[in-house]
Amino acid sequence: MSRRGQALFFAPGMLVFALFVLLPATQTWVDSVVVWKQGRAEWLGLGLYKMALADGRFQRALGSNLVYFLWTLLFEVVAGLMLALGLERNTRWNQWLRVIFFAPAVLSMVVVGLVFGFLFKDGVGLLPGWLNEGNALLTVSLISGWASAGFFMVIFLGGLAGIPEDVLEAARLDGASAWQTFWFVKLPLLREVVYVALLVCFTGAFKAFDLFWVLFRNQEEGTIVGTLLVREFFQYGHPAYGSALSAILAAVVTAGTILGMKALRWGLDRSWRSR
Amino acid sequence: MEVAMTRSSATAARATLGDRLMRPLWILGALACLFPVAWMFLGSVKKTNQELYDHPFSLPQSWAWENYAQAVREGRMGDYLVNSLLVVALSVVGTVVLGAWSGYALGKRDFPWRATWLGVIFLGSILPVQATLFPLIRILQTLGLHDSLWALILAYIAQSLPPAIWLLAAYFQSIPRDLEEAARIDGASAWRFYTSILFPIAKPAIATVVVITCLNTWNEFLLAMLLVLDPMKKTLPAGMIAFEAAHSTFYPALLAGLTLISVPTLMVYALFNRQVMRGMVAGAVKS
Repeated sequence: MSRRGQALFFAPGMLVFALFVLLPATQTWVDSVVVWKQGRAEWLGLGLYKMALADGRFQRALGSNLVYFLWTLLFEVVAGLMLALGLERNTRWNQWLRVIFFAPAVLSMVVVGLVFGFLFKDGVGLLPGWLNEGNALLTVSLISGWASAGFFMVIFLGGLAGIPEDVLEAARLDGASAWQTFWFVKLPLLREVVYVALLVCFTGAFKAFDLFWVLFRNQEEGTIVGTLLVREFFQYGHPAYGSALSAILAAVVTAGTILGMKALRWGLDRSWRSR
Repeated sequence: MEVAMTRSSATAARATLGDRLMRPLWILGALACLFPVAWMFLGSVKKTNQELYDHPFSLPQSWAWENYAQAVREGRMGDYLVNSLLVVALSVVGTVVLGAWSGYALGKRDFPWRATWLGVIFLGSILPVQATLFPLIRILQTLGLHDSLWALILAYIAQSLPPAIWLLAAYFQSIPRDLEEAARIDGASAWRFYTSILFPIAKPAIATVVVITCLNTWNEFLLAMLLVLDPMKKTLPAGMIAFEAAHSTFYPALLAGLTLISVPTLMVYALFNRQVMRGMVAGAVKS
């Protein structure tokens, strides 16, 4: 295919992607440092970023993202790994159980949020008070775990299926216990999959929106950066500040992913080589 | 690219004694996992809030199907359903067509700045939607598309393209070059080769793209809430929130609305569970 042919195939998709993702993403950065007043651009520099770093509400929101990430590591990734190990053998029962545990992942987060909101509703719900101050982040993480553990289970099942049978056979012949087989054989061979799961969990925790928006409409405790910036923009009328928060969130997710990819690769390679 | 789920999917392994002993625990876990969904279904046909909360595990005393009529009448769930179907269908078609074209070009090893393009597309896919949100609204206003279904369709296509391009580029790259060479010698143009040979071969990868795009756009909420303000043009999740805000006191009708959103995805999942599991994981994990 000629160069021109390649370009013709490539361009339409790239144009849509550039116009509705790359251009607005760039514009968000511009909006956070320049403000338009009566048709004239006014340079703000890093003023809004300094404001954000000093803003207690933003600090708490970012902290909530972090706490949510740590809880979801447990309720999504670790729970998913345990489900995968438990349902690893390919029996008919296990095939059915996998289908059941994955099922919540196809539901809309709006549905998940509202159903659990009704279940935990103050006064009438089956488990009232679970979403109140103090419990909010733990409960929303548990709900996320319910919705996504099956998804991570499938990631890990894929990794487990890739472990060569003779390696497990060798461990069996050496008399390794189930725990030893997991810790010394399976987990090291799963490192590639583990690090993918960690990254998916990390980006998911900082990109979160739907569940928090639906469950905590007016609750400080359940505010994360993703919901705070939308409120700043649409409800509190601070578009420039909202843009700065968007830019910070984008930077956290992007830098975290790239650094995480590098660090995890390096760290995992080293720790397992030295064993 | 394909995510293998099991070692040998053709034959089921025999259950051991240990499996049998653990079975009651697993069944209990599965029931707990299904409970919220079952509560939603059963709740949607109960007569009163009290019956819903006092007897969460029981079947309804009399099946109140009129809750669904109420959800459609007062909650406009019927209109939202039509909007959702339209948005999903057009987003899927757009994503597949554009994603396959770009994927075909990027699947060539000699494509200029190939690694850079793939890197940019990857960055675009990990970016939070919120990072594009406010300027996106302005761009759509400039194009005269804000507050229309087209706004959502274009935004969804742009959001769905990165995983689609990655998956399809990887798939096309795995197809031997000799095939295109042979077609060229037989006098087929690049376009002819693409439409009558390459695209049909790529069915498995395209099925994956269709699955991910369908589920993501059907369930999407943030853009659906902010890009479409006209109450007649909302899609299901955003419309559901409006319904809940207006009628937040009678839960069975709200649960009927929620069931209407969930039944299509659960049905698709029930029929194609293997493909859905593989597809969703492949879409998130990529390459």
